[in-house]
Parts: sequence; C-alpha cells; structure tokens
Amino acid sequence: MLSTWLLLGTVLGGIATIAIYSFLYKENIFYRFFEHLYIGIAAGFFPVLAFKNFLWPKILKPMFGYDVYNFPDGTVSHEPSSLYFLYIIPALFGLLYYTLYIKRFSWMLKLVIGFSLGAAAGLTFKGFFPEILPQITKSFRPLVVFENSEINWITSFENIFFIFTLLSVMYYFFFTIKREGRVANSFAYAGRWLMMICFGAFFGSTVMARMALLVERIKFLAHDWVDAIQTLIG
Amino acid sequence: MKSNFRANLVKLLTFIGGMYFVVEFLVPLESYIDNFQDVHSKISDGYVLIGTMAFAIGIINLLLVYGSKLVFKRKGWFDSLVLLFGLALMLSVSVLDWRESLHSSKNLYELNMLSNFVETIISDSKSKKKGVPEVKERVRALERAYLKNVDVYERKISLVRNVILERKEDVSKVSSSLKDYRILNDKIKNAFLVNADLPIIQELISEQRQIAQHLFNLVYETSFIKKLYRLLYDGLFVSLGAAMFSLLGIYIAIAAYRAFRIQSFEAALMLGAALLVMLGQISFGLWISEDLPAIRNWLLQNPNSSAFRAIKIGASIAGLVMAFRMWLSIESDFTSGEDF
Amino acid sequence: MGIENATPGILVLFFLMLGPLFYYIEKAKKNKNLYVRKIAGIDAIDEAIGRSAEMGRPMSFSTGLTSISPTLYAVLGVLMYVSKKAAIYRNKLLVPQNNPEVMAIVENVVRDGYRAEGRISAYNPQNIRYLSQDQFAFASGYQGMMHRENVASAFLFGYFAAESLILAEAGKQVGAMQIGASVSPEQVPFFICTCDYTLISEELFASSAYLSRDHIQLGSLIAQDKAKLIIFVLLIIGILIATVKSFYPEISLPNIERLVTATYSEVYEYLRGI
Repeated sequence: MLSTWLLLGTVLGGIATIAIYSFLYKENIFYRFFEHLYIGIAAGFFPVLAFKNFLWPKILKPMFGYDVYNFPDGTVSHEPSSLYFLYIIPALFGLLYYTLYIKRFSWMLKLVIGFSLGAAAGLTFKGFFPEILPQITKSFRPLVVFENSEINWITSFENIFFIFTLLSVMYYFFFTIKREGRVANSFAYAGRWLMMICFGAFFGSTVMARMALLVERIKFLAHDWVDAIQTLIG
Repeated sequence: MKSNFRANLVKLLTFIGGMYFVVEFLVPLESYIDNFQDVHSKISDGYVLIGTMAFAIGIINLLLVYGSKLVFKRKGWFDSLVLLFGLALMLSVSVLDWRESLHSSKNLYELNMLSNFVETIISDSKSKKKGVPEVKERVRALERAYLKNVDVYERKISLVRNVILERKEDVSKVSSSLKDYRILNDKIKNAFLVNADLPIIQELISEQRQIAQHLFNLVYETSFIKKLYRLLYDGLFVSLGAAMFSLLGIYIAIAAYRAFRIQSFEAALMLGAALLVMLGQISFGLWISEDLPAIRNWLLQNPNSSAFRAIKIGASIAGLVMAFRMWLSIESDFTSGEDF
Repeated sequence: MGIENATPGILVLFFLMLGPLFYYIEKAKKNKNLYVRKIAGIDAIDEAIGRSAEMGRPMSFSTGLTSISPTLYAVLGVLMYVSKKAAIYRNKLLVPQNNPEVMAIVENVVRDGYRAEGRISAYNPQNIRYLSQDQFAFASGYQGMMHRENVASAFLFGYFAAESLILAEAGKQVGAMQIGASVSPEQVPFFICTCDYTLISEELFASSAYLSRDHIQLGSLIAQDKAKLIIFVLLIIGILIATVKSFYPEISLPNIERLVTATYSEVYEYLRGI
C-alpha cells in the first residue's frame, strides 16, 4: 500500500495537471495559481541544486579540506591543495554580475559579460571541427555505387538524392551570392522544397511521441489520481 | 579617456576569456603538462563558477517584480504571493533536505574513512610508495580503528530500527539489513584475527559500508523533510512539467490543422511528407499500403537527414564566424554604450 | 574521429574560412549597398513593431533557452534593434528570461537600446522578467504572460527545444503577429505552423546585418557565405573523389579526411618523404 505522502503527492499532481489543462479553455485563476507556484518552486529548486551539485563538492569541499580523510596511521587520503583558493578569483569576478543593480558600478557588468562571451567563443572554436568534420566526410558518398561489378541503382539513387538535397539546401542559404539564371534559381528553390519535405517528415515523426505524452497524462489522471483520491477518502 | 580605457579593458577580458580554449585546441597541451586532463577539468570548473555566481540574479528579479506587486498591492498581488511562497518554501525545504542528506553521510564518515584507508594501503603497497608506515603497522592501525568504532556503529544502526518504528514505516527492510550488518561485523573481526588478505578485508568493509549506507538512507528517506521535498518535487514540480509537456499533444494537433490547409505548394509538400510519415507509423497505414513504413523510413533517412545536415553545417559556420567576431570584439555594441 | 587538437589541415581551413573576414568588412565599409537577398521574416520585424504600436499593445521578445554562445550574440543584435524601436514608438517591450546570466546581458542590451534613442526614462527594468530555468516552468509562465498582457507582436529568437510549440501557440491564441527564428532545425516545423514568419537557422545569424546594414555585420555575413562556399567546394571535391574511386578503386586519390586530420608529425614525415 502506498504511503499517505505518496498518495497526497499523486492527488496534488492530478490537481496541478487539471489546472494546466484548464488553460485550454482560457487563462483562468486556477491555471494562474499553479503557474506562479510552478515558477516559484522552480526558482527555489535550482540555486540549491547548483550549490549541492557543483559549488559544494567541486569548489568549497576541496577548498576547505572537507574531502580529506585522516587515517588512523597518521597519514591522510590526499594532501589538501591550497591551489583551490584560486577559485576565489573567478568567484569574485562572477559577483560582478550583481553590479547590474548598482548604477555607479554597472559598467563592470560588461567585464564579466565580455569574459563569458569570449569563453563561449573559445568553446565554439574548439567544438567546430570535431562536430562538423565527421558530418562533411560522411557526406562524401559516390554518385554511382558498384557492387560485384554491377551498378547498385537503389543505393546510387539514394546517394544522388542525398547529395542533391545537401548541396541545394546549403545553396539556398547563401545570402550574399546572387542567384543569376534559371539553373541557380531552380537549384535554390529545390533546396527550399526539399527542406519543406524534411520539416514535414520531422513534424510527422514527432506527432506520435507528443500524443504518447498526452495519453500518459490522461492515464495518470484516469487511474493513479482517481485511485489515490479513493484510497485517501476511503 | 575613461570610457576608452573601460572599453579596452572589456575587449581585453573578452580575448582572455576565449584564449585558454583556443590555445588548448591549437596546442596539444597534454604532451607538455602532466595530468593535463585533471588541470583542464579544474580550469573548466573555474569558468563554470563565474556563471554559477549569477544564480541569485533570477531570485532578485523575481523579488523585485513580484515583491513590488505584493508590497504595493498592485494587480496580480495574490499570484505574486503564491510565487514568493513557492520560492521560499522550495528554497527552505531544499536546504533542509540537503542538510539531512549531509547528516546521513556524516553518520557514515568512519566507515567511509576505513574503506578508503584499506584501498590506500593496497594501492600504496602495489606502487611501493615511500614515506608511509609498513603494511603490517597500517593493518594493525586499521584493525584498532575498526574495533574502536564497532560499538559506535552498533548504537547508530540500532537506533535506525527504533526511528523507523516510530515513523510507522515498514521495519522488515531494516531487520534483514541489521542482521547482515552484524554477520559482517563478525566476519571482519575474524578476518583480522586470521590475518586475512587485504583485498578480502576491503571487500567485507565495503559491503558493510553499503549496508550501513542503506540503513542511514532509510532514515533519511523516511524523514519528514524528505517526504515534504518529494511532495513538492515529485508531486508538484514533476507533475506540472509532465502536464505542460503533454499539452504538446493537443497543440501539435491544432498546429497541424491550422498549417496543413494547403495554402501553397510548400504547405502541400510539408503536409504530404507529414502524412506519409504519420501513416507509416500506425497500423492503419499498413491497411492502406504495406510500403508505407518503408516510405516513412526512407523519408526520415534521406531528405530529412541530408537537409538537417546542411542546415547544421551552415549554422555552425555562421556560429564560427560570429564566435571569431565575439572573441576579437569586432563590433562591440556591448562593450560600448553610455555605461562607460 | 576524435579531434582533440588542431592539425595543420584544420589550421589551413580556419585561415581560409576566417581570414577573409577583415577584407570583407573593409569592402562593406566602402560599399554599404552590397547585395543581401531578401528575407521576408526579417522585413516583417518592422511590420510587427508597427502593429504593436498601432494597437497600443505590448510586444514580447523571447530568447528561449539560449545560453551564452554565438547564437545569443546574434540574437542580441536583433534585440538591440527591437528595443531601439520600442523606445522610439514607446511600446512596452516584455523580455521573459530563462537563464540568469543571459538575463543580465539582455537587461544591459535593452537599456542600451533605450539609451541610444535618448529614452532611458521610458525603460522599465521590470519588463525584463526572469521566469524559470526549467524549460516547462518557463513555457508555463510565458503562455500566462502572453494572455494576461495581450501581446500584439512576439519575437521568438534563439535556441528552443520542445517548449517552442507551447510558446508559439500562446502567441497565436492571443492573435499576436509572430516571427520565429530557431537555430535548431528540429523546432522550425513548429514555428512554420504557428508563426506568421519563420527564419530558418542561419537566417537568424543574418538578421542583425540585414536590419542594421552595419558594415561590420555585412562584411561578416559575406565572410560567412565565403566560408560556407569553401565547405561547399570541399563537399563537391570529396563527392567527386568518392565517385571516381567507386569506378576505379585502384586509383590513388587524395583522402580529404586524412589530409585534414593528419597530425603535425604525419605531415612532417610526408613532406620529408617528398
């Protein structure tokens, strides 16, 4: 038998679900109540998570040596490193975000913004080729595929179609190169149409997944929620 | 003059911010620095720390926007009260929950330490580490420490059963674990007596530590704070998220109805592809044509994957050029402005 | 293929792709009337702002789940433009936020936008609203806000995930004119179904240059196209090599992947061999 707390949680979850669904009729006080509660709970959850999963185990604990064990033979598990105190520098630098609220020092906000943007740029450089090069090299497909000295027409057609789609879509996204002539224009339009087919196919493939989520929630309401109410009342 | 200096300082910091990752990519630093992966992870943590320090900005904004509505009783003050109540409640419950879990871990300190100690003795003797006592001496110290803590732990885990009973929870889980714990106690004492191999002692202490952890976790999991946390998190937070996610099922149908009214050739293409894929996924589609699943797979593998690849390559290149501009502060809308 | 560090091939490609940036910025400085093809969604931004001003209803600009990245940098260009227009027309501009760090940057940009038009007194920091870091709490807050504020125009620019349809549908329900620009192609179909105009992925990066006609941004857009052209040509060469190899497997042809990923020592050995 489920504990009272679990049952209460299920009942609350069901009420919250109905509140969200009430929005489909129109925005109402019931939805608004749970919307604001949701935002408040989420806002209270994340800072503690950041502290629990990052600040404490990776920064503060090693900084103050709380992860060091003193063994009974007088040795230690590892020597605490005073280098962890260097983390005070990025911590203080990160506090510059709060100069947003102090007019006199608000220019300092741009220091930390600039640094963060620079770091993001550096990460982009680092990540570009490892991500893109495999995609480019995997696209080096032969236009004609031979198998046992014969042309494999199906694979060849698939490759030609694949390459045509890839190149025409890339060509569509040239913004500063004029498309002069019918061939160039047609190639770009072909890219656009193939993109529409692609988007339609993707849309179709997500419909089932989204419906499954809805079905799961309705099942929760129809079974788990109703059972929980009956158990609590009964 | 002052604004020039500040703008240049921002540009310099922007450059420095990206410098490490660029250098790390261009130069194989792991060839020159021992244990580079460890150093890299610590530096990355430093970067993450800068961003993490901004965690309270969201809370400050919520307090300013919704707090002012509440204080000045503006329109929507009740909703603001609900929001701030939810914020305060979740913050305090999360902090208290974390405190409980730390307390539960603290109970395990000695066993964790002993488990760690055995591992260290084994690894030190394998690597013939200098500056540490002889293995025999260390094992004797281990034995003394273990025996010293036996009574302490016996008291702690006995309390577990009483706490679980008080909370009217299921005691059966506790009883069998307690029995296993005490059996292991005897096995470990025996292992010390017969000078068993260290790996055997290590395994026994590790197993005992796991049982103790399970028992202290039971106390933690059945505490009022943990239950309240679960009510807020699983009962509300997760349920609300699942409900919002499930709205997509309804919205996708509305969106499809609205969009697929064949107002243009492109809409027809999109509709056609979507229909083929949807029909290829359901059993009704097989009734129309047995080839539909194969057509669906073909559509998802060919135009879909190649078009997405083309878009991603283009977007990545655009991002790269943008990143280059960002790094060198070429065009600096954000570094200028009258803040300087 | 785990590329941990830059190889000579990668450096050459970087140089070819990024080097011309400075040349094209200079070129754009001398000639601001360089060709940029028409992008309907970007042209509609002014229309959306005007609509909001005429109706006396607010507009909203959402950066979605965008974190600090080049995407955010591109989005901020558009946000600066929109906030300047909001300052001129005295429109209420709501900017719901998902990420505290990004919120600090966004607040800064919007304030600068108002200040640039001499309307700093009209700037209200309470219009920059932090909703939640959680994806669906953000969506829930956004859809509630759209209804209560009765927004006339909505801009959805940046990185979006599953919640994109909820955000766009919220705007549709209140009859807002919506322009969606998702950098992730997976969300584009949902924007196409619900928004009046959709920018697909890269078009978001072009939008700032298109709007401002600033020489640096125009030059950057041209450089971006040229960089893409290099990859385009590389693809064609690779495909042709693969095709020839398919006909004549015994022919020794350059392997582009090997060329690009060859390490310094491998290149040195190869050159020594020559």
